[in-house]
Amino acid sequence: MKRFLLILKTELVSISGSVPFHIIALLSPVMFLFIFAGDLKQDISFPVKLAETIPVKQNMKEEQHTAEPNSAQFESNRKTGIKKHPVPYSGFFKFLLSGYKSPMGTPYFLSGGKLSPAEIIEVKPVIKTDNQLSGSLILKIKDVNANTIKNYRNRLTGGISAYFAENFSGRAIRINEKRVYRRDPSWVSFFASSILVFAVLFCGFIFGSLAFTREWKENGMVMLKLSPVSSFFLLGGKIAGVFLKILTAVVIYLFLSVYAAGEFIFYSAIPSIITGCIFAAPIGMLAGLYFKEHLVSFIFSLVGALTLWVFGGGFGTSISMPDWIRTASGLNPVTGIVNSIRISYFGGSVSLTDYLYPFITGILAFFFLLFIYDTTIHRPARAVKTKKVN
Amino acid sequence: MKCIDFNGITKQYFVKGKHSNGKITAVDNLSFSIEKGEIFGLLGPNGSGKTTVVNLLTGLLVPDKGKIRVLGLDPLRDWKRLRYSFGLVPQESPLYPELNAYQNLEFQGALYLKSLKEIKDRVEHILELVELKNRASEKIKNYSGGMKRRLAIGKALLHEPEIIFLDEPTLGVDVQGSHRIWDYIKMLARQGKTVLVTTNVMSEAEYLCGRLLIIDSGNKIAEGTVDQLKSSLGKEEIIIRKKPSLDDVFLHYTGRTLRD
Repeated sequence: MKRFLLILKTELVSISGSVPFHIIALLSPVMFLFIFAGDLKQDISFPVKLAETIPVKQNMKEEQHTAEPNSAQFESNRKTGIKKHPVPYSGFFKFLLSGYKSPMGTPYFLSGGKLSPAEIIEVKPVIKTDNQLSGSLILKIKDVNANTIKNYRNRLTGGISAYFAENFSGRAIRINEKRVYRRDPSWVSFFASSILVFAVLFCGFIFGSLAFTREWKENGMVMLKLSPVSSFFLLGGKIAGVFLKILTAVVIYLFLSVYAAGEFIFYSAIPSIITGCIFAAPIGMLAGLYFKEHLVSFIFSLVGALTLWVFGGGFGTSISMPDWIRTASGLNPVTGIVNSIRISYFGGSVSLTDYLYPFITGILAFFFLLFIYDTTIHRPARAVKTKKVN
Repeated sequence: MKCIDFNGITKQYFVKGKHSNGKITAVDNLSFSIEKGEIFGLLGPNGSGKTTVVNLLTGLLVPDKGKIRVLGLDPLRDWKRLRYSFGLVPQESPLYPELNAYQNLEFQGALYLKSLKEIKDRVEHILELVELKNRASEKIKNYSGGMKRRLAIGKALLHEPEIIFLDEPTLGVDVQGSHRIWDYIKMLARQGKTVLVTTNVMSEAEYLCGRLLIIDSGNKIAEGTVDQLKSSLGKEEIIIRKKPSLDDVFLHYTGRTLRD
């Protein structure tokens, strides 16, 4: 056991030999978080196009929603087409503002005004013919955290679709609200939880690969090849060192994420984090064993972690994505880690598969690593049949 | 029983390149043996196959033909037993620059020794032996070439092997450091250890080795003690110089052409 700790200790002390890589591994997720959280704390506007605009014909009835008919404002809008005004409550927008509600009874879109977190600011005329409607509106969301969640676009689209379904017969649109999480998280919290998965992946790949690229670089591989200790013992010590480094990086990330998310949010995510470590560390070590160089391993770690994370639902679920992305997401073990971390914090039903799939994949990766290391490094190559010399 | 028996060994490498596309014969039907407690020198110019011979003896390479026995055991079949019996100092010292001498030796100890107490005791002993005890807490990247080489030798001795393979032990080391390393090697032989030294420094071979083997392009060129090799030069050589040096012997057998 104490010899095992010596191998583990060497892995930790070796950080000083590759400080830049460790810093990048630690800072990259933090930078992601602050960039995206900082960006989205500013005002954002989401244009929603209902349908293609059709040419106005003389016998069409025109509806204006920016001012009462026959008012000066109405005349002005008719001439210019577009005006930016707070929208009074009439017809379609009244429905959006008060009529369309979450299953909990809370209106999605609060009333306008200076203190309102959202405001419909721009409307193009809605042209109604016998059987078609077209137009566009822009919803300005002034506070991302207060009035929107990850499926904001679906909510607005859902509201518009529900209005048409109620008021215009023949529209076969149904909106069924399915809550994934027990509470609606703010955008920053939602993204911070997702970035944590990226942090675990990226750190696991980099730290895992450094465990072997360091040996290749310093000619330590010769001594490992000649060592009589078992491959399992040696790999166990190295992977334990990688785990410790990942967990240290995660703890640092958690404290830094408090400043972005405003809350310490991952106390219940420990099983997901550990599952992520078990998945990422052996894959990183395999990469280090194969690529042999720090820089190549770093590029692999960055590209690999980003790809797995994005296709694992890092920016949002794949529900509205094309089929091939949904298939890739289903096959991706990281999807389960992302899901389980979000549910661990925001509440909801966790699936055992979310943990088991990446866990089993990680265990298989470790045994594959053990096999490759044992047969190509630890044991001498198989001898060819030698001729007896007389 | 001979300590090392290297019998009819051939080793070829496959290479692909602009100027060569095929096999390179690194060792060609080479045979020699080493007695227990002997300091045996393997001399040759660059690319002659010296490092390949060491890698074959340690089991890092597989021979294409022939038979190797180290302490009566096959390095490929009996590798588990044999790995405790020899230590290797490769041409490039396997040291971790971000660790200090103590940590480097501790890690080596974890790869060979059984208990923490044994590791600590051996580390202290080795640091005394290679005279690095007062600099043991400094990082290796601050060490001179001679200090690194001494530490590399210390690493190879940590598990008290019977045989030491040293591949160009004084490469890049100054005169004083070289002489100190030679003293260590002499001391190992006095302790009954068997030493194989590869070198292309004639003064080193002359000072250290009881017997020498000169190889070139993987072939045996000459073998014998230093005096035997010197005596093997013709009379005309002696007329030119009263006392030929080992440099003269080496150049006589291997020529002056550069090996690039």
